[in-house]
Amino acid sequence: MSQIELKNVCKDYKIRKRDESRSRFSEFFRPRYEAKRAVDDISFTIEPGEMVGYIGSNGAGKSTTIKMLTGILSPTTGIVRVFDRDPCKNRTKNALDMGVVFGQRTQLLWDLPVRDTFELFKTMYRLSDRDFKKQRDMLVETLEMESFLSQAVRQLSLGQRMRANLALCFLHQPKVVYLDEPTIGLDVLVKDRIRAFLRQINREQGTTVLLTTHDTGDIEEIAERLILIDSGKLLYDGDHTGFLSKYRDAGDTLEDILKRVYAE
Amino acid sequence: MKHYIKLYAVLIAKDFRRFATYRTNIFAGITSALFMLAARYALWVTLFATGNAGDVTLAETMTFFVVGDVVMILTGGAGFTGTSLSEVIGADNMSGDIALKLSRPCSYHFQLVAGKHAGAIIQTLSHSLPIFIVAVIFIGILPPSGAEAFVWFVVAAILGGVILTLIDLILAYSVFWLTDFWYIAWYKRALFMLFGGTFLPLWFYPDSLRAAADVLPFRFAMFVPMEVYLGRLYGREIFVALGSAIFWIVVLFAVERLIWRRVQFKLVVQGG
Repeated sequence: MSQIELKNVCKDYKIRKRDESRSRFSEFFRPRYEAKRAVDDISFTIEPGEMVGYIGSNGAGKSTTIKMLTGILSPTTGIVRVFDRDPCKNRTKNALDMGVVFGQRTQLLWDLPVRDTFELFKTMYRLSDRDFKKQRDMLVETLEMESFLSQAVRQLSLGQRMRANLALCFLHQPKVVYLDEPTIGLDVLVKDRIRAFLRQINREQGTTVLLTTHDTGDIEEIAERLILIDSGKLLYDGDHTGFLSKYRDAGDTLEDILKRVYAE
Repeated sequence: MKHYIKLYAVLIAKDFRRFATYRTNIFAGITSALFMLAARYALWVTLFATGNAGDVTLAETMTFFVVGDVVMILTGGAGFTGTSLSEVIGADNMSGDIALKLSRPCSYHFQLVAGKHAGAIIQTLSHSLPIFIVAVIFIGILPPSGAEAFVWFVVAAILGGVILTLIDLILAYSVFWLTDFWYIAWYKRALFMLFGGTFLPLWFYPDSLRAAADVLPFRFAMFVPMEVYLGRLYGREIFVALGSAIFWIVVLFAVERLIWRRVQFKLVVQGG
């Protein structure tokens, strides 16, 4: 049994269709809708302990896939299984074994010191004092958070906040984490630290990591396996070297490859 | 179960600490509440001086508002900044943070209820309790009309709180269709002012408006408990009122569940 399984998954959004030729009056009273396919017939499986880079241009369907895996969205057709359960129907149950970071958002309690959110999550994820303390100390040390643990979240820099978000996501030792652009807007030093941290925790705790990113450094340094999607369709699924030999022309950097693939 | 009680307590404690970081808010809340009390008292002294109050006394009317405020805030708080769930749910929906709250190992409604009760405690301390103390000292507030009346008053207030919360939730769910949400709280307040007697006690209403208020559920939040408190409802009348409160709870709960299912469909299936 794989930890994560997607089988022929499609996801349609209903979006408002605005027609220039219709009057504003009829647009208001009789709006028309059309379906937009965000994810189109995607299948893949992920085994425990894998580090997978989920890449694609903006709007390719990456975040939609992650929302389906967390159980916040249900697929229009196809099957999604996480821990051999339907994530939508077992959302709160699956949440105990899962961590998620949405790069632009924060779980942190805005007005309080970072350590307060840690304590809240300790209770929320039913951690024993021992497990909590051990994991928290490890995270604080690895992500170098000691200096700002007592500061109010609203006073933190983006890099500090993102490290705190990551620490929260790993606090309950989840089996799987979904990271949606975890290095967005961060400086090179913070990025390096986060990458080293992800490699370490994957090695030591066997955490499965699925991350979406636009940063070629993230892809090169973290992702052993790459899944590439474009306009909702799966283009490539395989290891890093296979990706390079499939798409690389002489002298290409990873960035050159992505530019070409996204443009097609 | 034990886990959820602990989590509930921690969520409330954290909200309380968040609120406590804004000391000026507390000061502003208390002073503005006292100004409101003074304005209200001046208004009713003037109105009673005209001699058109029927069988109601000034003391009864002031007790109605002061104790009624305590009831409404204890049962109707929504978060530490507001008194409507539409503000909480609306902000979650607009910012997209609802996705984070849905990915936690406890339900969204559990988080809403904990936040609501934290708000109730915070606003009681920063708003209705100071008013109550000042009013008892300087204006004079009537005690409950009897020990038995007080017990039924508590029961009526709890049932009224459930009705208030269900109406609040039902109205709040419209944020998922409307996106903009600030006016929903105003809308709710207006409904309770007009049909619930929270602004003008229903005993001053003309017959036609009173008849409309009597067939709607809004009066259970404040007016009915206060009538029990003041002894204006007694004996069999109390049981009729509590019976219809229970009837409304059943109806509103069914409506709330139905709409929540639509909301979940919209959120989970359409990704709205």
